[in-house]
Amino acid sequence: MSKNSPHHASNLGLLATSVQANRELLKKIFNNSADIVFRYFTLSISSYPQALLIFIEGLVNTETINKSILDPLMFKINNKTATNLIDVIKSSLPNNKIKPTNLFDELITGILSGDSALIIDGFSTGILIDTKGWEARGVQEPQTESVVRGPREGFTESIGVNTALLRRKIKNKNLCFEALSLGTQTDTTIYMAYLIGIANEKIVQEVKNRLQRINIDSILESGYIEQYIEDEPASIFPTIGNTEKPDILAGKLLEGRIGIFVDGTPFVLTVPYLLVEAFQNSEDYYSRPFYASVIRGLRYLAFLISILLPSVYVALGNFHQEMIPTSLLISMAASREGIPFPPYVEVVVMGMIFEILREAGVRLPRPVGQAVSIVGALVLGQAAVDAGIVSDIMVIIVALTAIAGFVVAPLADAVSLLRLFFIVCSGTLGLFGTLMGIIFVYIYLAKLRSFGIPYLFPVSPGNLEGLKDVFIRFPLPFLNKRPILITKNQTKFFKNRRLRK
Amino acid sequence: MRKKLLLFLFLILVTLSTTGCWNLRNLNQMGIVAAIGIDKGTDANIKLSVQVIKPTDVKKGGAAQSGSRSSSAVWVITSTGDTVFDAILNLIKKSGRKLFYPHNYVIVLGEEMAREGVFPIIDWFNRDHEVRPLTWVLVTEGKAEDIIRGTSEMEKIPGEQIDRMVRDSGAVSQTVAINLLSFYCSLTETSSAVIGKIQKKTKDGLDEFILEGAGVFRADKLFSWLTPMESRGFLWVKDKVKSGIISVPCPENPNEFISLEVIKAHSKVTPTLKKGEISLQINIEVESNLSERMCSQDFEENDTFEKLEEEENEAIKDEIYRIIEKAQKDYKLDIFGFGVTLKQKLPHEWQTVKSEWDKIFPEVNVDVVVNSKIKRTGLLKD
Repeated sequence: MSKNSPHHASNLGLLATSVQANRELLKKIFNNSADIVFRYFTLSISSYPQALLIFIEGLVNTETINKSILDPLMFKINNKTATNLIDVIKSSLPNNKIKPTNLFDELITGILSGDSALIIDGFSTGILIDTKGWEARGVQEPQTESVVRGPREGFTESIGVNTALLRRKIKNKNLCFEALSLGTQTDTTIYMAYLIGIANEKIVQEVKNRLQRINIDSILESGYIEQYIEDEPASIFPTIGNTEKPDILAGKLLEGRIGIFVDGTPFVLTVPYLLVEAFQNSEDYYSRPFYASVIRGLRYLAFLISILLPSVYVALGNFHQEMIPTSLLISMAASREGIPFPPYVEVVVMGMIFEILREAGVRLPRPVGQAVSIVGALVLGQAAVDAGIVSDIMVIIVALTAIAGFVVAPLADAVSLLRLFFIVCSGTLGLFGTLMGIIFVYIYLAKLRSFGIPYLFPVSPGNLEGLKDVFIRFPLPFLNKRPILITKNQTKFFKNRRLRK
Repeated sequence: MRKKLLLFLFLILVTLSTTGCWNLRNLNQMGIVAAIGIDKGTDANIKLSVQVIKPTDVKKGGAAQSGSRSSSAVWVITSTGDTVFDAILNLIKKSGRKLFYPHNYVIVLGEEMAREGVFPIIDWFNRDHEVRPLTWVLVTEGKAEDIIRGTSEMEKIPGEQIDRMVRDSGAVSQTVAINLLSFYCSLTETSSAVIGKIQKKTKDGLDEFILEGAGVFRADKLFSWLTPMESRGFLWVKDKVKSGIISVPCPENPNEFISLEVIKAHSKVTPTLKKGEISLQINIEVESNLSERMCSQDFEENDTFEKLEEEENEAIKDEIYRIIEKAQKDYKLDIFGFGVTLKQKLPHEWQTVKSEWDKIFPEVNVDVVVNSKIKRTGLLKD
C-alpha cells in the first residue's frame, strides 16, 4: 500500500516540538480548510502542558472525543512526573486504537480518514486516536438484486460495514482482506477479499498486479477499477461481475473467486467473471432444484429472444416470407398494411424509443417516472399503432424483446448492443446474415478471457463437473466440486450417502 | 494493424451498403396467392385465375358483419397468356403487387385443359422456386375459374377451405389427395395419375365445394372420372385409406345396417411368377371398430363378430375388384402403378415385360385377400 499512498510522496518531515509551530504547519497543509477543528486544552498534570487535538468535523464521533479523550486528559490523569508523558497519556486513554507517530504524513492520513491527532507542547510525537464515526446509510435491502427467498441485507457505502457483513457469512480464519489505497487525489481504500486455500494464487497475484498498476487520480465507484483491470476494455461483454449482496459475494468467494471492495460504494466486484454467472441467480440455490432449473432454462431463452427476436422478425418479414406459417404471414401482412416504414427502420426506431423511455424512467424522480411510463405505453404504443405509423406486431416484438432483456440483468448492456448488431445483419442479408452474426459473436466469446479463464467455461472448454450448474441446476449434494480453473482446491465436500431415517 | 482493421471495416460497410437488398420484399408490397386455377383460354393458350389474399379483410371482423353472405377476403384476378409464366406475369398488370406463390394451397385444373394434356402446364410449377411441391393438385369438371371464384362460408379464404377439405379427406377416403410433386412423379413413372375431383354447387347464392371422386389421367391427359367408392377402391390398393365407414347388413335383417369404422388399414402388393405368368396378390389388413348398429334385433351370442368380419372382408374386396376390373377391362391402364412394384420386386421379369406391360396388364390375374379385425364396440357392450 505504501507505494501508492499519495502523501508519502510529498514527505512533509517530522513534527516540531512546539505545539504552536505544529499547528501553523498543519493549518498551512490543510489550506485553512474550514472543516478542520483545532482544539486547545491543558492536561490535568502539575506542569499543565498545553495540548492540541486536531480532527475533521463530521468524520469523527464527538461523543468518543469528549468521553475518551478530553475527559480523561483534562480531569483524570494525575501524574506528577511528566518525564514519560506520552506513555502516561497512552495508558490513560480508554480508546481501542491509538498510534504514536512523529511523521506529519502519517498524522495527516490519519486525520483525513477520521482519526483525531493529539499533539502535546514540548513533544515531537503526536498520537493518532481512532475516533471514526460518521453518518452512513444503514444496511438495507438492495434495489438491484431483490429476492423472494434469501437474505435481504445489502452492502452499504462504508467499507468497514461491508467487510463485516461478509465476515459474518464466512466465519473462517482463511478469509483474508488485503488492503490498498488508490487514487492520487481521493486515496480511496480498496480491499481484496479471498479465501486462502480456495482461491487460485495465480489469479490473486494477477488481480493484485493489475490493481497496483492502476494510475488514476480518483476512485469514486468500483466501476472505475473495473474499467482499469478488465481483460478486454473494448468488449461489450462484462468480464468483471459486481454484486450488492453479501450472500452472493460469499458464494463467489467460496468458489474461489476474488472480491474487490471499494470504499464509498455498495457494489463489490468479483473476478474472474464468466458468462454463465449472468444466468445464475442466488435464488437458484436457495429454492429446490426443479423449478430453479426450469427458470434457468427460461433465462437462456429470454436472452436469445431479447437479442434475436427483432432480427429474425426482420429477416422473415423481409426476405423469407415463405418460411412463415400461412396464417401468421397473413396476420403479419395485415398489420403491415399501410405502414410507411420498412420493418428494420421500424424496429430500430421503436427500440430507440424504448431506450429513451427507459432512461427517462430511471433518471426521473419516482412520481414523474410513472407519468413517463404511462405516456410511453399509451401514447407511443397504442396511439402509434392506431395512427398506422407502427405495426402492432412490431409493438409486441419490441415489448417482448425489452422485457426479455431485463431477465438477464447483468448482460442488459451487452444485449441492447447485440440486438442492434443482429438487426443490421438480418436487415442486409436476411437469416443468412443473422447466422453469420451468431457465428461471429460465438467465436468472439470463445476468444474472450476473464483473468485468464475462458469466458465460456465450463461450456467451452467443456467440463462435466462444471456443466452440472450451467443449463440445469443439479441438486446441491451433486455440486460437490468447485469450478476447476478458478479454484485451487476443487473438492467442496465428499459426497455422503443419502441420509435415511 | 489498426489501418488494416479500419480498411476491413470500411470494405464491409461498402459491400453491405451496395448490396441493394437483393430479393428484399416488403410484406405490404406483395399479394399472397391462396389458390390457382388453370383453364384453356379462348383467345390465348392459357387462362389463369388466382385468389389473392386481402390480409386486412382476413383480420377484420367475422362473417356476421356482412350478413349471411360470405365475406370472402380474397380477390380473384384472371389473366391469359401463351405460356403459364406469361400468364403469371400478366397477372401483375392487374394486381399492382408482386404476387407471392409459396403459400398457395391448391392448383385446380380445368377439365378442358386437363383433357388436352397437363405436362406442358405443370412444368413451370415444378420448375419455379416459389411454388411449393407440396401444393395440392385437384381437377374439376368444368372450369377451374368457377372453383377459384367460389366462396366459403367457413373460412375467409376459400383456398384454405379447399386445403382443409383435402387434408381431412382421409376421414372418408373417397377422394385422392395428391400434391404437385407426387402428381408429377406419378405421371412420369406410371404414365397415369389419379387426382382428386372438386366440384362447386351454388344454392341460393351460396357456394358449396364437394371433394369426392377422382379424375384419371392416361399419359398426361384426363380421360375418365372415378366415383367416390371407386376412388376408395383405388386407395385400398395404394395403401392410402386412413379411415372410412364400411356398412354391412345386419345378420338378422339385410335391410338394416351396421357401421364399421376403419381405424387402421394396411395393404401390400406382392407380384408372383408362376410358369412365366405374372400374377399379383393384394393383402389388406384392416382394423375397425363397430361404431354403430342400427339393427332392431338384439345381438345373437355366437359367432356374430366373425360373421361381421367376413362381411367386411367381402365389402372391401368388392370395392377393390370393381376398380381393378375397370382398370383392366375399360381403361386397359395400370393406374395403380403395379408396374413400379413389379420393377422393384421382380426386376428381371420386369425387363422382359416392360415394353408390353400395357398389353399384359389387362390380362394379369389379381388376387385380393382381406383380413379385417373388429377391435372395439364403442361405449356399448355389443
